[in-house]
Amino acid sequence: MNRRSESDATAGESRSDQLVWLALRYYLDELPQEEAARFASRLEEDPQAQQALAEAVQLCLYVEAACQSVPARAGTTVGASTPGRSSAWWPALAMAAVVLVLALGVLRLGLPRRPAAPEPIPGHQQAAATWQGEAELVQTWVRLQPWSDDAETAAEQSGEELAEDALLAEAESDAMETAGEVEAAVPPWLLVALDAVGEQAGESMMTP
Amino acid sequence: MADGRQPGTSEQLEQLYRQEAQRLHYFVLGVLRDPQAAADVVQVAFARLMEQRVLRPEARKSWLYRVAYREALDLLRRRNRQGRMHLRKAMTPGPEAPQVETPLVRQELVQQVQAALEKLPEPQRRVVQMRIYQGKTFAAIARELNEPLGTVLGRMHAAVKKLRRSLQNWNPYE
Repeated sequence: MNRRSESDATAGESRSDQLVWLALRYYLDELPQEEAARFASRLEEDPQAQQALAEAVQLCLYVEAACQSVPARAGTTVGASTPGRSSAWWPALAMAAVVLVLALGVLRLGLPRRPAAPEPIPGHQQAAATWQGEAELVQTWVRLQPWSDDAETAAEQSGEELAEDALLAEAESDAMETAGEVEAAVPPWLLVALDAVGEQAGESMMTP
Repeated sequence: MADGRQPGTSEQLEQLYRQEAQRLHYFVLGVLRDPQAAADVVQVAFARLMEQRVLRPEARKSWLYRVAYREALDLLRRRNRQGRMHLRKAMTPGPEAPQVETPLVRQELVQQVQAALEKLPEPQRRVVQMRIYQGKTFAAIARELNEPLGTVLGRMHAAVKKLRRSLQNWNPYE
């Protein structure tokens, strides 16, 4: 009797499997046209077929969700067939870092380092000395940044402001490495600033 | 074009409605066991689809079923809540209706499915991923894997059986 009920259960299970398999192929448009039409007409009256379809569709939805969410977990292979999803945050992070550094760079150029008198007075020795000092300061800053050998000395010698700049430059350097542009160590805005300061200092020094 | 949609979108939606409305109805009916409620859910799902103008055509079917499934579960949840409020007298879906899972439990189900997928033999898992996740047909999978179509179908069938077994605890219909 037990054996009979076990075999009944197995047969029922098998029928259920077959029905879900049929429903799955119906949902996935993988049944031949005639078979699909037969199953569709069966669905009108057969609650078991409706349940099988519901189960098949849910199975597909959960498998889809599982495959989509797996790349977020490291070390699994499910869903690995869609490369690039797991590293999608990396370029965004690099871009955010670059934008942050550029914004801070613009602020730095626009506010504290801008000279009080934008146009030097010709022949004025003090103005020339100011420009010269400014140029030397910036050049020193460049020389002693992390891409030079003695960045630690820079932080010690030039105080907190230079230390902050070193951190900024480090962040920018990291961001550029991320973007595959390691060689561009000196930020463009700094080159422009150096050119401007150098030109103005040169003009002041040459003016009698 | 006058309503700002991409060319052909209306026709594609009409075609999708003709193809899927009946099948979607039977799917929702299998979940809700209430023909009128199933019809309402199908209508809501298609209305939502009409609003999704940027959805890729190949993603529409899956999106449609997800929305309908969520609507159906929300409806069941509301009914269960109302049923409890009215001492289970009014608006209850019927004696055979499944218990509704909370979103947290459904997330657990996703993890269960992940675990079940990872337990599958690699050839079976690959076919499941290619068919359900990547949306390739069995014929295309067979060509890509250089395997007979029967082998691919056999792997999928075996995988579905195993996935069903491993998920029987949460399956409300078993």
